[in-house]
Amino acid sequence: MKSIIIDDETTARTIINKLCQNIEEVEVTNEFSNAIEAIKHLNASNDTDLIFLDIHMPAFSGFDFVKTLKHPPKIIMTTSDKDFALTAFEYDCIVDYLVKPITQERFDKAIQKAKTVATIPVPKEEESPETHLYVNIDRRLVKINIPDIYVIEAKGDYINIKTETKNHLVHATLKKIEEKLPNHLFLKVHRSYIINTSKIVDIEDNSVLIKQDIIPVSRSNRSELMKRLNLL
Amino acid sequence: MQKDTLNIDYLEAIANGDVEFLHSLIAIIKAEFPEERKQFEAHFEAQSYALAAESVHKIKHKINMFGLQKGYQVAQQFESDLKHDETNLYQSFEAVLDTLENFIISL
Repeated sequence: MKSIIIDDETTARTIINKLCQNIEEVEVTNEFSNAIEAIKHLNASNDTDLIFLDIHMPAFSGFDFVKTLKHPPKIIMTTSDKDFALTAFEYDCIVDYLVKPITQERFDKAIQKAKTVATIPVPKEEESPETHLYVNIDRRLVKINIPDIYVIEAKGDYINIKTETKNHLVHATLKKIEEKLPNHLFLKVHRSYIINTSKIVDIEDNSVLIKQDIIPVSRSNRSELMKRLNLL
Repeated sequence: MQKDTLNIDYLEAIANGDVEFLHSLIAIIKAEFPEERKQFEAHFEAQSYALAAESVHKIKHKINMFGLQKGYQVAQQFESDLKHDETNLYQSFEAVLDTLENFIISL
């Protein structure tokens, strides 16, 4: 089993790696001190069979990490807390839960469990349409509730994602975020703006009012916008 | 109150006779622990108690692996307290850290 270790504590990663070395079937291919780097790795390659995942990590918890995975491999949680065991087993992909300090004997049992669990169904919540988006801001993955977004504005190499509660300046393009948003809700109305059509307050000839913002509408996008509206 | 007996039994069990690994693991702990302690103290002084609780959580693993069972209980309670901005156990936790630091230095 090709495995990766995600833990912000070097000591813990070193110990887990050593425990793996004593088991022939387990090969540690990578170690990560934060979840964001691990997500990048998993997005780039799908050869990981097993993840040893710490729950408590700065900015991005182990559970947040699991939620970002569309097709998660098997996961063994590693933590200093017993309190999250019940939560952990709500996830089909989590095959075991190890409390630190981890002994070889307990570790071996967890590996046996990982080997015997045949297939991992996609978590139920992934079957429903995406309701959240994670954006990379200052090396942190920040969760944004998609329906709360009312407008996204292009600003050079960045986009400004405006939500009901907060604005997020993210290094990305409008095109990239457009691919992640549900088509029925969001529309590009101008080369620099994507709007949430459900948040429109009123429309004039070449602009829409959303919250306090007046957003320009290109002539070429106006007809598509009008089609989306429930006109009397 | 019976005192905890500091030991490296757990580290030796993990090393399983691999002396080179044991030395490298101890070196990692010697480098990592002071940083974790410094970070905890910075968060505590800044009254960023939620972050201080995160630091205590991380240090807890090391307290436990060196056999400081009572120290571990102090850490566990202190972590929980800090999440509610409660700091009464600060001195007790610092004493645990002192004990652990002196032991790690002696390795």
